[in-house]
Amino acid sequence: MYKLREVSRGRYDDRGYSNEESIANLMLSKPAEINRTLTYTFGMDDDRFPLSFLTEGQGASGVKSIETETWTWKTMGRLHFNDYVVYAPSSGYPGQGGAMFDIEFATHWLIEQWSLVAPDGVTQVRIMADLGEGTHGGYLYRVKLWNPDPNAYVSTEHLATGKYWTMTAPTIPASYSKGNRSNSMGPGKMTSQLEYHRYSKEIAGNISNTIVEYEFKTNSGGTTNLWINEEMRQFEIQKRIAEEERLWIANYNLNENGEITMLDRDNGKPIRSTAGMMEICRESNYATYGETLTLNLIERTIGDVLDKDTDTGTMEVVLGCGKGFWQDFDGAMRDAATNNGFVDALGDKMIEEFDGGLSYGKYFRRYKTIDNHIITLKHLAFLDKGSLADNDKSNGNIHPKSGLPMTSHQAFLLDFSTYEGTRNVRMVRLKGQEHIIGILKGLTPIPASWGSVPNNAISTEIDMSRYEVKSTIGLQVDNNRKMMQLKCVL
Amino acid sequence: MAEDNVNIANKNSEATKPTVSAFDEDLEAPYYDERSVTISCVHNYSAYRKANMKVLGQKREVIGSSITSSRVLSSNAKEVEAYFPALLGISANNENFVARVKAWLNNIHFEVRDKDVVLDTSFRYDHKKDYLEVKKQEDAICSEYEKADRANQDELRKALKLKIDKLNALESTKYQYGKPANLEEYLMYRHCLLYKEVAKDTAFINSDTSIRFYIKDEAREAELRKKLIAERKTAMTNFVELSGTKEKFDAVYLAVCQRRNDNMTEALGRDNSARQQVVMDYVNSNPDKFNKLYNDKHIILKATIENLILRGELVRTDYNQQITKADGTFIGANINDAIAWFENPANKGERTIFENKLKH
Repeated sequence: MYKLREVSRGRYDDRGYSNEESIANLMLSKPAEINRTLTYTFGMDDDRFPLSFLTEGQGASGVKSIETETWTWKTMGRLHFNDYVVYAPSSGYPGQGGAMFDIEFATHWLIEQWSLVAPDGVTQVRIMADLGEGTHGGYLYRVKLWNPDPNAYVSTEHLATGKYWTMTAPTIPASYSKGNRSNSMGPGKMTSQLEYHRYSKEIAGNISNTIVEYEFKTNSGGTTNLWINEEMRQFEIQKRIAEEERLWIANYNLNENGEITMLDRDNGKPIRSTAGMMEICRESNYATYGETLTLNLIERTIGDVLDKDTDTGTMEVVLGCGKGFWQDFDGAMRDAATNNGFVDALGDKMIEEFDGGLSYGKYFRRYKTIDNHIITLKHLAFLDKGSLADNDKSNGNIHPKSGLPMTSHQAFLLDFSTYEGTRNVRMVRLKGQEHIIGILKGLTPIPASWGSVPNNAISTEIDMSRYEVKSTIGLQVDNNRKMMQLKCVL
Repeated sequence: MAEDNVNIANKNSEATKPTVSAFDEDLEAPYYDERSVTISCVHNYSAYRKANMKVLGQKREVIGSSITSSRVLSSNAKEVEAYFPALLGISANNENFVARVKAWLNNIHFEVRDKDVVLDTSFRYDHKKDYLEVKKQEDAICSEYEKADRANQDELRKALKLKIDKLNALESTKYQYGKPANLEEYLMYRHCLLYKEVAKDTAFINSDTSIRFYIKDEAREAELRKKLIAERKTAMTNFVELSGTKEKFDAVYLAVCQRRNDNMTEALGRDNSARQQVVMDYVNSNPDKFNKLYNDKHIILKATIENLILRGELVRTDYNQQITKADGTFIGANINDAIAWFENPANKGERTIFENKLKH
């Protein structure tokens, strides 16, 4: 927060703010770099731009310029050994008396001669024959129970649709066995696209030289009473808030036929939309919670997601959340500590001496799972104060206990790790269209912050001038398996 | 905390089969109401998932907890005391009972894999008479909802909320009459009724992007289909009979046009074959509603009143249903009051005057 100091009103004709001038000149000559600097500055002063700060604000490692509007990247998951049943006998005693029976699995992943373990982890069968495509959209396998007891059979419970069976080593007789095959995984290809933004600032009259009674703080730390500087500061912040929120809420809009149905009304051209962080998280892993968050649920949701991959490189996984989720997380830890009898230990931390009196309050911000995954909370202010939060407040979509907007009671598990030297989350820009600034000069004087333009030339007969910004933006998440959205629902 | 976990995905229930058949006439005997509901994934995939389907695969959908469900399901103390001790393994007078119940409800984490999950919602009633009473009330709640205008989203939404509130209230009384055959799956069904990401009517699937599942009550849907076929057969017979009585046909036609929100001046200008087509279409699309119109003993008088309104002899106010004479004299607060006015012998003379006006 900065204070306003009243000064005298009058004309201002000095263009002597060197810091202002230098930033302005850089804006025209190297716009992409200046954009980063501003993001960093705003990110340090104000936590409304976490995603911009953690991508664009990190310099070259957090940004990738590309030549085309759409891009692809390769991913490789973990080798799996199981598959699920799509059709199998639902009655009788399958496998009894050593009889062979057929199971149809979803894919052709399972291999003849290999054995399968049922969902109970005990019952085992051997794949006697691969019968090829089945009649229920899967692949049919003929199996035989390993158990030599003639009364033993496979419970139909294990053969229900959706039940997973896992594969163990191939077993063969001592001689004259034939060979089998092996599975291998190729990398998958993911795709996303950029979107274009445009911001305009129009001025008229002598606004560029008008000074007002109040003194404003500038981005560079100084003060100014030139109104246009304050207006441009607001323009920049507005632009950055919009870009930041767009990085979160954008939904990918290129359909499977390669069509975009959102067309510009003026020229009929398609308007692209990138996949934002919320969509990436939601599409990766999504869960909801209710009145209270519990440690059990945290372990079963977030802990489960963290357990999906082998950790390599420098892990930097944070749980970005609103204040409401923070309270819920703290409540979950506190309940768990209390239930485990750590009441005194908790009390000692909660109540401490302060300035001759007492201070109450210390809150949980981290949790370590049994397998050493660390869940660290990071506050995302936009979930409490951003435009989505404001909307929730205005529409009465409020959490009944905390009184905070419902957007505040949600968290995003964000994997900002570096894998093989590459940051997992990067901002993507179109080469040459990263951040373009143009001035449409009329008779209205151009403020210093817009940069230098020829004095006498005008490009419009209308007495006004415009500052135009065009940018491209997209979000690249190499490995989305540790991304997740966990939200409280009414 | 193990008993606090809820994970019943794809669970096969081995519920005890009924000991008393549905046709047993002994109302005091126990009764087993065998039923199930299916929770299906909407699979309304985003363009992002569709573009990357080969890598992302099908979504792993999980039904989690919600504030409403947790609060509502824990609010009926007697019901909670009846069901939860067996589920949690502690008695209702244990000092941690309420906290454990809350924890159970807040830990709901129920995976719907690939396609559908069938929940066993069967209920063992101690007496068949209780089943019959509950069934009667449930049918009344469902029929009330079926009357809602499906073309009006707002009205349908309000009707659905009312239906869910009433169904939940009814379900929460059932603990007095017996026990669910599969407690966990029954409670999961009760949770799904209150969980906003599960659509209770397929009409809402595309209206809300947060909806990820829908409930299919297969028994009820089959019953509805059966009912509809019966209604359609009756409607066909009624339509044939109606075509032989011009006065009643015109009255039903007028009522149908009103329900279709037709321009009434245009509707009155249609020739006989066009009118037949309109009514026939209505018979096909809404046989039950058509039968109600056909069986309405006041349908001709209603048509007379509506015709008088169209001709300006009577006036219906824009802001309510009040009907007055052209000079402002009050006839009735709504169409039913107006019918009573017309049927009142004291108004016989005026009624004849009005009817004569329509003949010219």
